[in-house]
Amino acid sequence: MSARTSFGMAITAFGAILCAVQPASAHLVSTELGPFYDGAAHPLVTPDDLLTILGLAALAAFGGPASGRRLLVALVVGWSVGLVLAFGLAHREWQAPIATACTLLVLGVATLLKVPVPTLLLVAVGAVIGLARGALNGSAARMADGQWLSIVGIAAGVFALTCMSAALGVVLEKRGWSIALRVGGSWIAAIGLLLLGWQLRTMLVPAG
Amino acid sequence: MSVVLSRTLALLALVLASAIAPRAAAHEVRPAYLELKQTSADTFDVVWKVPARGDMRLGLYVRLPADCVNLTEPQGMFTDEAFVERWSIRHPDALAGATIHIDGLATMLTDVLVRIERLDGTVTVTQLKPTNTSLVVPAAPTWWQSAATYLGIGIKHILGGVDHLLFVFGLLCLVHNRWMLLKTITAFTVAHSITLAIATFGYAHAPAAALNILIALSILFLGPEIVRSYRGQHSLTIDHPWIVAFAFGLLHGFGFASGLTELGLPRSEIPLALLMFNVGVEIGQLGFVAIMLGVWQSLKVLGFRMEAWTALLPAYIIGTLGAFWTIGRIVAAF
Repeated sequence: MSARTSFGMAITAFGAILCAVQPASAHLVSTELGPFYDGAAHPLVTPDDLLTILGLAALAAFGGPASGRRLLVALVVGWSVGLVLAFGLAHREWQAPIATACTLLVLGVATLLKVPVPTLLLVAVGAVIGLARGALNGSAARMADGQWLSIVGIAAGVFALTCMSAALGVVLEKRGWSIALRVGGSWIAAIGLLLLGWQLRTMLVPAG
Repeated sequence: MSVVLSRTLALLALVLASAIAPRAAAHEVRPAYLELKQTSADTFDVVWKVPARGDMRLGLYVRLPADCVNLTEPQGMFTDEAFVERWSIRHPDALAGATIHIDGLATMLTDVLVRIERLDGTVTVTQLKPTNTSLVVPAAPTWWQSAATYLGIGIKHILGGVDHLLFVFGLLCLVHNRWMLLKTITAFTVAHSITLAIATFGYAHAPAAALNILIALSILFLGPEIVRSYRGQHSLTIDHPWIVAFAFGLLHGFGFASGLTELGLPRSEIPLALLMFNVGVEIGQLGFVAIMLGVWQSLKVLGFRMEAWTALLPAYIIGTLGAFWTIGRIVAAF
């Protein structure tokens, strides 16, 4: 797959996510340990972020350590940029439930089927998803407490979580346990499908 | 490619460290303290202690239940680093089921520890936070509720103390094998437990300003030692980091003690508070060490190769922050 194709796919995905965003009420987990820890815990306790990171890390693990470390840099840099931009610019918290569900579904199915994703595409997708999720997190942090230490915490949490999950995936793959990653992918796909069904139901079926 | 990646990561770490430094300069964990000591079936002596500096106090105010009657008017005075008020109250139900509010807490970063001691000796300790500014006084307090509160204070104290965590991180940079890691962390734990106990029981006291400067110096001290270690040189610190961990651990223990001593707990309450606070500190410290080692091991699995200057970056960050805090705290002290 050429660089141009990868870039095009990534931009399309980003556009789809942007089109699907909608306002939401501000939320950020409270650890009662201060804004840095609130931020660091955010990707751990937010299923959308957690499953996205785990799905990307599993896909990267199939490509070996080099794929894992490139994804790590792309995802963390993208996420950080999204955080800073949204924290500086957002005037309300945004969520993208349908795009999130679709992302989980695609990542889960790709992991389940062990689709060989070219590193370049993985890096591009990782950066774009990171940018989008970082923007969503940044808007939430802005509306929740407005403290910049929260977004530093989120970036640190994303870094640690991605780093450790990618490394764990690489170790499992190296030891012939890729079935564990694929089973994990099936769970992510199932959750994505459930979320998508729920979102479509609330959109299509009139209340009451 | 991996060189570029490691440099990018190193740059990110440097930016993060520089961004955090000013916020981390002051290790302020100074909760307010409300004590209600029952003196008869329906009366209590009240002590309300609010952090202060000079003649400026935090804007925290106790709002007792409306059916409380003041038997004496609050008498307030500024002490070393607090504003303390004392008065007596009467409540028809001995406060059982009553709600106590702390006005102003929602907009503060600090916490309030509420201790209620009854005639039968039972004690309730509750921590109020900006997210939870009121307390419904339970009729039958349990000791494990108090224990859980002190455990939480310990965890919060260590995780909020960036200087303590950076010192532990510096020690991690010096150790080269699991046995040395075990010895070093154990030595630090034993040492700070000793001084934490001594200070909490009131047998010794370290002036806060001098203590903070020495703690900053202990971090500054580690920076050059880590550089020497990477260069393959030898020193007492490099060959036996547990000795340094023990020596400086004694200092850090006095620092940890501030989390308890500033509350002015009664002596009978100290053993439980000390034990659970220390356990909380250890939980926080071990959690931090586990995450650091997990990330470090993961970076190795992912094949990050550390260039010489990248490998030295932690040492320079530790040394720089140590120097920054040392200078800042010296300036603040004079």
